[in-house]
Amino acid sequence: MVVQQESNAELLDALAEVVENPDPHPAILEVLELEWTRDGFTELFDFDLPPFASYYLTIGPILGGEPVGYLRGLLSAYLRPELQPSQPDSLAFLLRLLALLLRQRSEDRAHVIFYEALSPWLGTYARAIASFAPLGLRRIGLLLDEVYQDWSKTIPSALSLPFLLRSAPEPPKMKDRESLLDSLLSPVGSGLVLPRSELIRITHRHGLGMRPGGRRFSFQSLLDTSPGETLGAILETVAIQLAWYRNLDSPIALWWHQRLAATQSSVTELLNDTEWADFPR
Amino acid sequence: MSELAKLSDRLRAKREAVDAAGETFYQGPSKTDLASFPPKERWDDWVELDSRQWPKRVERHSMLIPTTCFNCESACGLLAYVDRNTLQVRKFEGNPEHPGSRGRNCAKGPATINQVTDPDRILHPLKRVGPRGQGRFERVTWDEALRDIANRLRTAILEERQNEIMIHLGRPGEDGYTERVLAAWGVDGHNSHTNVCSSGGRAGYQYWSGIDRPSADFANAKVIYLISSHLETGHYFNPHAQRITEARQRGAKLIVVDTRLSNTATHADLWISPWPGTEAAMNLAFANYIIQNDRYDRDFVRSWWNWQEYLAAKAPTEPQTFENFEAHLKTIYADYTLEYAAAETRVSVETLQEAAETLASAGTALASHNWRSAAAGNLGGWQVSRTIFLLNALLGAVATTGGTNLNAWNKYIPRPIHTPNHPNVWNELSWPLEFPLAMNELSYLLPHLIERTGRRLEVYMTRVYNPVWTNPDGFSWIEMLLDERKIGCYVALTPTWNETAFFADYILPMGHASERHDSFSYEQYDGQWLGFRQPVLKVARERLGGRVYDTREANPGEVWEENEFYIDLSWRIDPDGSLGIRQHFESRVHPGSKLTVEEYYRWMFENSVPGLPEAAATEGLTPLEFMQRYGAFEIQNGVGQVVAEEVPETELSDLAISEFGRVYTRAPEPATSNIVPTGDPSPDEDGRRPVGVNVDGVVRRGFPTPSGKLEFYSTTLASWGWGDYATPTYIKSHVHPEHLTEGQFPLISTFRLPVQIHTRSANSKWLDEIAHTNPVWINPIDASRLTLADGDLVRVNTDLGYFVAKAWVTEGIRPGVVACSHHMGRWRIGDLGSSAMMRSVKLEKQGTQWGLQPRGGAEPYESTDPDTSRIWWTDIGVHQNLTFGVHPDPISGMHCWHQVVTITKAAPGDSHGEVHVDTARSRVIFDRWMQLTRSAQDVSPDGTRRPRWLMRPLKPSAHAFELPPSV
Repeated sequence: MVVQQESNAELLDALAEVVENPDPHPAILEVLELEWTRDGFTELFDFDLPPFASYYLTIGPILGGEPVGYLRGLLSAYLRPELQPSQPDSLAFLLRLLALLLRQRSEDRAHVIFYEALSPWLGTYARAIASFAPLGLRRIGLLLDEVYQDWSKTIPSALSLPFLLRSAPEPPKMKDRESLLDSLLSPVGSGLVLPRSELIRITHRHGLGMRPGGRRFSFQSLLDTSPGETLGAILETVAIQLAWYRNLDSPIALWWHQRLAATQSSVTELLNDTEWADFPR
Repeated sequence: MSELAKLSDRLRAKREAVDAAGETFYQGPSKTDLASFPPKERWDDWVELDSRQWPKRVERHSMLIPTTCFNCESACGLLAYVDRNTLQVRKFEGNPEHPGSRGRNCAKGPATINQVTDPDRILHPLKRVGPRGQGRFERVTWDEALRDIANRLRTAILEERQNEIMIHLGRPGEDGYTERVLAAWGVDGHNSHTNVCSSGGRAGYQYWSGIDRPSADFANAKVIYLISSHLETGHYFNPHAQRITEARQRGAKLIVVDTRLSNTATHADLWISPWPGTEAAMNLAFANYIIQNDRYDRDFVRSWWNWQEYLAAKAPTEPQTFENFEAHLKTIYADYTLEYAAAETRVSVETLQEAAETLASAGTALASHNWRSAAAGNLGGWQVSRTIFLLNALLGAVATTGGTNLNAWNKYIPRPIHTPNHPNVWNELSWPLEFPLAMNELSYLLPHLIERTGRRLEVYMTRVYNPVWTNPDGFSWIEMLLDERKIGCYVALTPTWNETAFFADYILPMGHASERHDSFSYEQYDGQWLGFRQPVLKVARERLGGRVYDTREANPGEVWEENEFYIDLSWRIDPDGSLGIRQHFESRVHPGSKLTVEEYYRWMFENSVPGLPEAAATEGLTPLEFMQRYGAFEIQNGVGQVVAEEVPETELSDLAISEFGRVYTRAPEPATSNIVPTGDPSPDEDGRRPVGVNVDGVVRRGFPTPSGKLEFYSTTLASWGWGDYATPTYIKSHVHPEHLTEGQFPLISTFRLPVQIHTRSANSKWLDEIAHTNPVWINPIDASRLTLADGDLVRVNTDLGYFVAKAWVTEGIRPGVVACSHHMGRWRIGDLGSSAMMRSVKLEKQGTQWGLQPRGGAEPYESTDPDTSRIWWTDIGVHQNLTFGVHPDPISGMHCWHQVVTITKAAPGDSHGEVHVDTARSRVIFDRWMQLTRSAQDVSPDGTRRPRWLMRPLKPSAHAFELPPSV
């Protein structure tokens, strides 16, 4: 099993900084080779891909919920409750915590935190950033993915899935429009990461009409006006994201791949075998 | 070495270099960046789609221009969305750059758009037609109004009738601006609303610390203790609500003391509903619990309390040691057991025990707050804040993280371009001799003081103030205003119609949040920030290349702002400068010409706000441009314990140290650009100024009190005739059960709904729709005894008369007590005013008997705003304050709002909203409460009207403090 080194702590702090601070120090941006705009930060981290574990591990999705409860309990072994942040599933907080533990030479604790709090979702998240972020910021995703791959080597091969994936909610069955939306909009439900910017790209690529608004509202408007084209476009996105997990054989990657594959199957069936007008609300 | 490790190395090298240069490499999360706000880089051209044009995608382009809400003292940041095509404000949302409000607002902020677009708002100067009070006005020019007013003011000043000039403030726009105007005129004419608001609370804090307002660090507290009707009754509702919520999310405990089940109480871990007026007894029981169980911070008490002065006064023959003081402390409050408090408050011992233990466990992270509520309701209410702060002083939770600071350290008033000397006169119409220790002007007694003294006001101006409606005893105000011998000329500076403006000679329209300039700073966390309010349409036009020289050019109609108004008015009072007034309103850049508001703020921001020029320069902006762009600037975050700062050597010269450790120096006071007022302890006999206090051999800054320490024992109260109250104690309220007879209730009227704001929100349709009525809260036990059902009409009988309201039978008020909210019951004469919230009434008078007869309630009507035809509510409440006699606390001057009332079923023919008052009774009540006072003539220890060190708005010269010769 690989052990992380204190020397890597600095990169973790820097990645935490760019994930949560819209005005990072220019020296950080220079070393990480990022083309920064405040606007881009807002689009990416406030609107498209919020850097919180719960967003990728709950149905809805929501910020908070059971993942936060679990992490709070886990962290109480290391931090008094009043010192915990209000959002302990924040990527920035978790990266900084890893860096701190490395500097304190508590590598084993750092490995536990990575395994339980970050491994369930960071790989998928990193690839999402690399795919969907404004061009100048996609390198954040690439760096996070490298860090993720590096830290994944610290996980003993004998270990099963981390708790947050073992206890992940079952994918909503796509039996009506509401559960379809629940599934496709929740990464943990469908394996699919579908940010608002991707919906906008779908509308432009396929010449569709979408009502601007919250993500759910906008997606629903796409399905209502152009269900066939929309579901077809979704399948294209699914196929792209299936490729994220190609050549990865870790239990975690397999888990996400399986969810995506199930979504591909369900959406294909819906597309081919169901009249949208008859699909229950 | 892996690529990641190489990156780490490079980052480390950069960090070390940046840290060595004194910068911060990892700054952490932005405090103001939220997903809900347009990024500030896009504020000049923010695009939204017009929802009404769907499915067409029609873009609306806006300039987002920051300003500040005007609807309460919180001064939360707003962004005005100015349509780039029409140059009209479309809406207001929060300003994420504002460090206090952090982008969030209560309902009143966004509702500003209603007030700005109100079809009935006052847009032009108006002058009375016919006798006062008929409600008939004609439009005049600003020039005509200013000429008349300036002439009267000039004549009064020349004839040395300065005390016939008064400006009465409700909501001051800019910290200190009006005071400086009056100082420039040489007039002690500042009046305020504070004695119907917060003087009770202020007194308690000022006698402890020399500073009259708390600044609780809610966000970091372990225990939050509020004696409040809702999050300190609007101060500072939104900014504090956020931080209290954050603290609770992190596990802080919230204790709310309110006789009434308020919204805030529903969020509490512990809600305590005491009998009104017993809160101080309860606080002392908590203090006793802390003392008897040795849970107090011994070192803090020893270092920072003036226990030596206490022993010197109370036990001069005993050992003057801290141990002896501790022995005294154990006995002083020994009678205030939890059982005693339970009997007084009628709250169970178990509940009080739980509260006491929770408070004691807070250590230095106790954030407590009392503002109005019990301090504003009761005789002796100032002891509520005095005793609540006792808990902080015992635990050492003063200016600590999570503790309670004092506001002066979390507030910044920049030195302005001109600072006139203070006047040489003393106005007894606002500072009568009977109230030498009053925190603020005895504003609400003005009709009685004028009646009693035979004095008059040549020019009486109100500024966003509505005394007929807001104050108790409104009919006495009407009588005064109707008498032209008493009030020569009444000028109402107001953005909207109100009950007092109906009796004005001139109504001059002043701008709302987006139509005026102000700068201000309020204590909302452990930091200092400066906010800026600006006329957004002026800014918008200038950004598009226009030039606006006078705010009236950009505002609707001829709506103006006080800053420019007072400059113009002052020039007219002193056109050639011979009175020494004009110089304070002259340009420095162009001597001999009028100061512009642009120059005024440019100077202020360039010279008096530390860090602002540097922050502006990093963005290539001037300081003024920075404030115009962002609307606020954080000067400092984390001020910390100013009291403990060591006084630098440069300030220690030819020292004298008193027997109690007060340190005086001959070193001159260093210049400062922060002119926030605090207590101003006097020099020693040899003229050395107080500079600090000796704490264990080190000279530390200390508190701005005579002793330099927290004054557990107030020598001021002792020497000015109130020795029994020199230490925190319990004064039984005028509504204590001992003072009530069978069938009498205390009426609590001090609670407000945060949705409305006194006088200026009646024309906000959204706010009116949310909150428009004020029934009388009655407990089911009392309702049953009175055979009342929910919704029944009742007569609430007070000392002056009665009002007719609806009953709301609820368990949210304790048995034996009734309550009725402030804000509601607005009325109008004739057609002037907002029909949504102001019922048309007929005023009747026969001798001293007054009647207010409602003519219906709210109703829909046609106007340029289609929403006015959708008004669905009719009940707009009752103006209860008319029936309240004045209750001046003899020490703080606070009007003690609680009334002793009886409740009876309404008589046949009674109408909801009806009011009847006998102003002869007003005078009886006034006289009765005046008998409680101790005049400076009788008690002054040094021949002055008032202790010089106490804070006072517009403090006159030393000469003016001297008592007049006795008659």
